[in-house]
Amino acid sequence: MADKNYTPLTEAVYYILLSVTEPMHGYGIIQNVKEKSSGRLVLAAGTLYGAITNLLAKGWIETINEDAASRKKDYIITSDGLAVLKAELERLEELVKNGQEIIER
Amino acid sequence: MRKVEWHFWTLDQYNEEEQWLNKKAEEGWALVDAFAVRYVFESCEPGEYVYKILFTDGVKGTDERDDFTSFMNENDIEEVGRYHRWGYYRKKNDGTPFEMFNSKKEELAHVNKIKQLASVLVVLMALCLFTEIMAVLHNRFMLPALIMVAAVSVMVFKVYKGLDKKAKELEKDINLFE
Repeated sequence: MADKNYTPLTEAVYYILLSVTEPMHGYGIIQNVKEKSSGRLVLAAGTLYGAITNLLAKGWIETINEDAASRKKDYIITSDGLAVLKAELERLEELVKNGQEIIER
Repeated sequence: MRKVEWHFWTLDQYNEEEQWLNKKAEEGWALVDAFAVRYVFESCEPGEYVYKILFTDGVKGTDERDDFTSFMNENDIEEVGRYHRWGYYRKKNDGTPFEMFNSKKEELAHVNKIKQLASVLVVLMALCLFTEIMAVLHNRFMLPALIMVAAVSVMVFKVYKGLDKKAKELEKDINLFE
Protein backbone atom coordinates (compact mmCIF):
# COMPACT_ATOMS: atom_id res chain seq x y z
CA MET A 1 0.00 0.00 0.00
CA ALA A 2 1.40 3.35 -1.02
CA ASP A 3 1.66 5.86 1.80
CA LYS A 4 3.82 8.53 3.39
CA ASN A 5 6.47 5.95 4.24
CA TYR A 6 7.64 6.24 0.63
CA THR A 7 8.45 9.96 0.81
CA PRO A 8 10.62 11.89 0.19
CA LEU A 9 10.85 10.96 -3.45
CA THR A 10 13.84 11.84 -5.55
CA GLU A 11 13.35 14.82 -7.81
CA ALA A 12 13.50 12.56 -10.87
CA VAL A 13 10.84 10.15 -9.56
CA TYR A 14 8.58 13.05 -8.51
CA TYR A 15 8.70 14.56 -11.98
CA ILE A 16 8.30 11.17 -13.70
CA LEU A 17 5.15 10.44 -11.66
CA LEU A 18 3.82 13.91 -12.44
CA SER A 19 4.49 13.34 -16.15
CA VAL A 20 2.64 10.03 -16.32
CA THR A 21 -0.60 11.41 -14.88
CA GLU A 22 -1.38 11.23 -18.58
CA PRO A 23 -0.11 8.44 -20.88
CA MET A 24 3.44 9.12 -21.91
CA HIS A 25 6.42 7.24 -23.36
CA GLY A 26 10.05 7.54 -22.26
CA TYR A 27 11.12 10.28 -24.63
CA GLY A 28 7.93 12.22 -23.85
CA ILE A 29 8.75 12.04 -20.12
CA ILE A 30 12.24 13.45 -20.75
CA GLN A 31 10.80 16.33 -22.78
CA ASN A 32 8.00 16.99 -20.27
CA VAL A 33 10.36 17.08 -17.27
CA LYS A 34 12.70 19.40 -19.15
CA GLU A 35 9.83 21.73 -19.96
CA LYS A 36 8.26 21.63 -16.47
CA SER A 37 11.62 22.41 -14.83
CA SER A 38 12.38 25.16 -17.37
CA GLY A 39 15.33 23.17 -18.70
CA ARG A 40 16.93 22.71 -15.27
CA LEU A 41 16.38 18.95 -15.07
CA VAL A 42 17.22 16.85 -18.10
CA LEU A 43 16.58 13.20 -17.23
CA ALA A 44 19.41 10.93 -18.30
CA ALA A 45 18.27 7.80 -20.15
CA GLY A 46 19.85 5.39 -17.62
CA THR A 47 18.21 7.20 -14.71
CA LEU A 48 14.83 7.14 -16.44
CA TYR A 49 15.17 3.45 -17.30
CA GLY A 50 16.08 2.56 -13.69
CA ALA A 51 13.24 4.67 -12.29
CA ILE A 52 10.64 3.24 -14.69
CA THR A 53 11.77 -0.34 -13.95
CA ASN A 54 11.44 0.30 -10.19
CA LEU A 55 8.12 2.15 -10.50
CA LEU A 56 6.66 -0.71 -12.58
CA ALA A 57 7.90 -3.25 -10.00
CA LYS A 58 6.29 -1.23 -7.17
CA GLY A 59 3.05 -0.94 -9.12
CA TRP A 60 3.10 2.88 -9.03
CA ILE A 61 2.94 3.05 -12.82
CA GLU A 62 1.84 0.60 -15.49
CA THR A 63 2.28 0.07 -19.19
CA ILE A 64 -0.93 0.82 -21.01
CA ASN A 65 -0.08 -0.07 -24.57
CA GLU A 66 2.79 -0.93 -26.77
CA ASP A 67 2.82 0.77 -30.11
CA ALA A 68 3.97 -2.04 -32.39
CA ALA A 69 4.88 0.37 -35.17
CA SER A 70 7.14 2.66 -33.14
CA ARG A 71 7.94 0.05 -30.43
CA LYS A 72 7.33 2.74 -27.83
CA LYS A 73 5.69 1.88 -24.52
CA ASP A 74 3.29 4.31 -22.87
CA TYR A 75 3.19 4.56 -19.09
CA ILE A 76 0.42 5.77 -16.78
CA ILE A 77 0.30 6.34 -13.03
CA THR A 78 -1.73 3.88 -10.88
CA SER A 79 -3.86 4.72 -7.83
CA ASP A 80 -0.95 3.67 -5.56
CA GLY A 81 1.39 5.96 -7.49
CA LEU A 82 -1.06 8.81 -7.21
CA ALA A 83 -1.31 8.30 -3.43
CA VAL A 84 2.49 8.52 -3.14
CA LEU A 85 2.54 11.61 -5.33
CA LYS A 86 -0.12 13.29 -3.16
CA ALA A 87 1.78 12.41 0.03
CA GLU A 88 4.93 13.91 -1.47
CA LEU A 89 3.08 17.06 -2.50
CA GLU A 90 1.79 17.49 1.07
CA ARG A 91 5.34 17.12 2.37
CA LEU A 92 6.66 19.66 -0.10
CA GLU A 93 3.85 22.09 0.76
CA GLU A 94 4.74 21.78 4.44
CA LEU A 95 8.41 22.51 3.67
CA VAL A 96 7.52 25.57 1.58
CA LYS A 97 4.94 26.86 4.10
CA ASN A 98 7.35 26.60 7.04
CA GLY A 99 10.17 28.11 4.99
CA GLN A 100 8.04 31.04 3.91
CA GLU A 101 6.74 31.67 7.44
CA ILE A 102 10.25 31.98 8.82
CA ILE A 103 12.13 33.62 5.96
CA GLU A 104 9.47 36.06 4.82
CA ARG A 105 8.27 37.28 8.20
CA MET B 1 35.29 4.11 -45.26
CA ARG B 2 35.92 1.59 -42.49
CA LYS B 3 38.90 0.85 -40.30
CA VAL B 4 39.67 -1.53 -37.46
CA GLU B 5 41.75 -0.60 -34.43
CA TRP B 6 42.94 -2.76 -31.58
CA HIS B 7 43.17 -1.36 -28.07
CA PHE B 8 43.36 -2.89 -24.62
CA TRP B 9 41.62 -1.14 -21.73
CA THR B 10 41.35 -2.42 -18.20
CA LEU B 11 38.04 -2.51 -16.29
CA ASP B 12 38.79 0.73 -14.44
CA GLN B 13 39.60 2.67 -17.62
CA TYR B 14 36.10 2.96 -19.08
CA ASN B 15 36.13 6.77 -18.71
CA GLU B 16 39.39 6.95 -20.65
CA GLU B 17 38.02 4.52 -23.26
CA GLU B 18 34.94 6.71 -23.63
CA GLN B 19 37.10 9.82 -24.06
CA TRP B 20 39.11 7.99 -26.72
CA LEU B 21 35.93 7.04 -28.64
CA ASN B 22 34.58 10.58 -28.42
CA LYS B 23 37.90 11.98 -29.65
CA LYS B 24 37.72 9.57 -32.60
CA ALA B 25 34.17 10.78 -33.34
CA GLU B 26 35.36 14.39 -33.20
CA GLU B 27 38.00 13.45 -35.78
CA GLY B 28 35.34 11.92 -38.05
CA TRP B 29 35.54 8.27 -37.02
CA ALA B 30 32.35 6.82 -35.57
CA LEU B 31 32.47 3.54 -33.67
CA VAL B 32 30.12 1.04 -35.30
CA ASP B 33 31.16 -2.16 -33.52
CA ALA B 34 33.21 -3.11 -30.49
CA PHE B 35 34.19 -6.47 -29.13
CA ALA B 36 36.84 -6.87 -26.42
CA VAL B 37 39.95 -5.24 -27.89
CA ARG B 38 38.63 -4.85 -31.45
CA TYR B 39 37.03 -1.57 -32.49
CA VAL B 40 35.45 -0.93 -35.89
CA PHE B 41 35.09 2.66 -37.06
CA GLU B 42 33.29 4.21 -40.00
CA SER B 43 33.91 7.68 -41.35
CA CYS B 44 31.33 10.27 -40.25
CA GLU B 45 30.97 14.03 -40.06
CA PRO B 46 33.42 15.25 -37.39
CA GLY B 47 31.53 15.46 -34.09
CA GLU B 48 28.40 13.83 -35.53
CA TYR B 49 28.03 11.42 -32.59
CA VAL B 50 28.77 11.27 -28.89
CA TYR B 51 29.49 7.99 -27.12
CA LYS B 52 28.89 6.49 -23.72
CA ILE B 53 30.07 3.17 -22.29
CA LEU B 54 27.96 1.36 -19.72
CA PHE B 55 28.32 -1.77 -17.62
CA THR B 56 24.77 -3.12 -17.86
CA ASP B 57 22.80 -5.53 -15.71
CA GLY B 58 22.43 -8.28 -18.29
CA VAL B 59 24.59 -9.94 -20.90
CA LYS B 60 23.69 -10.20 -24.57
CA GLY B 61 20.48 -12.08 -25.29
CA THR B 62 18.90 -11.73 -21.83
CA ASP B 63 15.48 -10.08 -21.40
CA GLU B 64 17.00 -7.54 -19.01
CA ARG B 65 19.55 -6.46 -21.56
CA ASP B 66 17.12 -6.48 -24.51
CA ASP B 67 14.65 -4.35 -22.52
CA PHE B 68 17.39 -1.86 -21.77
CA THR B 69 18.51 -1.73 -25.40
CA SER B 70 14.99 -1.19 -26.74
CA PHE B 71 14.40 1.52 -24.11
CA MET B 72 17.57 3.27 -25.30
CA ASN B 73 16.38 2.98 -28.91
CA GLU B 74 13.09 4.62 -27.94
CA ASN B 75 15.17 7.53 -26.68
CA ASP B 76 17.22 7.84 -29.86
CA ILE B 77 20.22 6.16 -28.30
CA GLU B 78 21.77 3.39 -30.36
CA GLU B 79 23.72 0.43 -29.05
CA VAL B 80 26.64 -0.07 -31.44
CA GLY B 81 28.59 -2.72 -29.59
CA ARG B 82 28.21 -5.36 -26.91
CA TYR B 83 30.86 -7.27 -25.07
CA HIS B 84 29.98 -9.31 -21.97
CA ARG B 85 28.03 -6.81 -19.84
CA TRP B 86 29.59 -3.78 -21.54
CA GLY B 87 27.48 -1.75 -23.91
CA TYR B 88 28.66 0.95 -26.31
CA TYR B 89 26.02 3.62 -26.92
CA ARG B 90 25.87 6.63 -29.16
CA LYS B 91 23.51 9.44 -29.97
CA LYS B 92 23.57 12.24 -32.49
CA ASN B 93 25.50 15.17 -31.11
CA ASP B 94 22.90 17.89 -30.50
CA GLY B 95 25.21 19.94 -28.30
CA THR B 96 23.70 18.65 -25.04
CA PRO B 97 25.79 16.46 -22.75
CA PHE B 98 25.30 12.72 -23.11
CA GLU B 99 24.77 11.45 -19.58
CA MET B 100 23.41 8.09 -18.47
CA PHE B 101 22.73 9.08 -14.86
CA ASN B 102 21.43 12.17 -13.07
CA SER B 103 22.83 11.38 -9.64
CA LYS B 104 26.14 10.46 -8.06
CA LYS B 105 24.35 7.63 -6.26
CA GLU B 106 23.55 5.96 -9.59
CA GLU B 107 27.12 6.52 -10.78
CA LEU B 108 28.36 4.89 -7.58
CA ALA B 109 26.03 1.92 -8.10
CA HIS B 110 27.48 1.61 -11.63
CA VAL B 111 31.08 1.63 -10.37
CA ASN B 112 30.18 -0.88 -7.65
CA LYS B 113 28.81 -3.30 -10.25
CA ILE B 114 32.17 -3.21 -12.07
CA LYS B 115 34.00 -3.46 -8.74
CA GLN B 116 32.04 -6.62 -7.95
CA LEU B 117 33.33 -8.24 -11.14
CA ALA B 118 36.87 -7.05 -10.34
CA SER B 119 36.67 -8.53 -6.84
CA VAL B 120 35.77 -11.94 -8.32
CA LEU B 121 38.86 -11.65 -10.54
CA VAL B 122 41.01 -10.71 -7.53
CA VAL B 123 39.87 -13.85 -5.67
CA LEU B 124 40.46 -16.02 -8.74
CA MET B 125 43.96 -14.60 -9.24
CA ALA B 126 44.75 -15.09 -5.54
CA LEU B 127 43.79 -18.77 -5.90
CA CYS B 128 45.92 -19.12 -9.04
CA LEU B 129 48.83 -17.44 -7.29
CA PHE B 130 48.56 -19.77 -4.31
CA THR B 131 48.45 -22.81 -6.61
CA GLU B 132 51.49 -21.57 -8.54
CA ILE B 133 53.46 -20.95 -5.33
CA MET B 134 52.69 -24.52 -4.21
CA ALA B 135 53.77 -25.80 -7.64
CA VAL B 136 57.09 -23.92 -7.50
CA LEU B 137 57.82 -25.35 -4.05
CA HIS B 138 57.60 -28.81 -5.62
CA ASN B 139 59.12 -28.01 -8.98
CA ARG B 140 61.55 -25.12 -9.53
CA PHE B 141 60.87 -25.12 -13.29
CA MET B 142 57.39 -23.73 -12.63
CA LEU B 143 58.96 -20.38 -11.67
CA PRO B 144 58.29 -18.61 -15.04
CA ALA B 145 54.58 -19.53 -14.74
CA LEU B 146 54.54 -18.15 -11.20
CA ILE B 147 56.10 -14.88 -12.39
CA MET B 148 53.46 -14.56 -15.10
CA VAL B 149 50.58 -15.28 -12.72
CA ALA B 150 52.06 -12.85 -10.18
CA ALA B 151 52.28 -10.10 -12.83
CA VAL B 152 48.63 -10.62 -13.87
CA SER B 153 47.58 -10.72 -10.22
CA VAL B 154 49.26 -7.36 -9.57
CA MET B 155 47.49 -5.88 -12.61
CA VAL B 156 44.09 -7.22 -11.50
CA PHE B 157 44.64 -5.87 -7.99
CA LYS B 158 45.61 -2.45 -9.38
CA VAL B 159 42.39 -2.43 -11.44
CA TYR B 160 40.40 -3.23 -8.30
CA LYS B 161 42.15 -0.42 -6.42
CA GLY B 162 41.44 1.96 -9.31
CA LEU B 163 37.72 1.16 -9.14
CA ASP B 164 37.78 1.44 -5.36
CA LYS B 165 39.31 4.92 -5.68
CA LYS B 166 36.56 5.96 -8.14
CA ALA B 167 33.89 4.67 -5.73
CA LYS B 168 35.43 6.49 -2.75
CA GLU B 169 35.56 9.78 -4.68
CA LEU B 170 31.88 9.40 -5.59
CA GLU B 171 30.99 8.60 -1.96
CA LYS B 172 32.68 11.85 -0.89
CA ASP B 173 30.63 13.78 -3.48
CA ILE B 174 27.42 12.11 -2.27
CA ASN B 175 28.20 13.18 1.29
CA LEU B 176 28.76 16.75 0.16
CA PHE B 177 26.04 17.30 -2.41
CA GLU B 178 23.22 14.77 -2.09
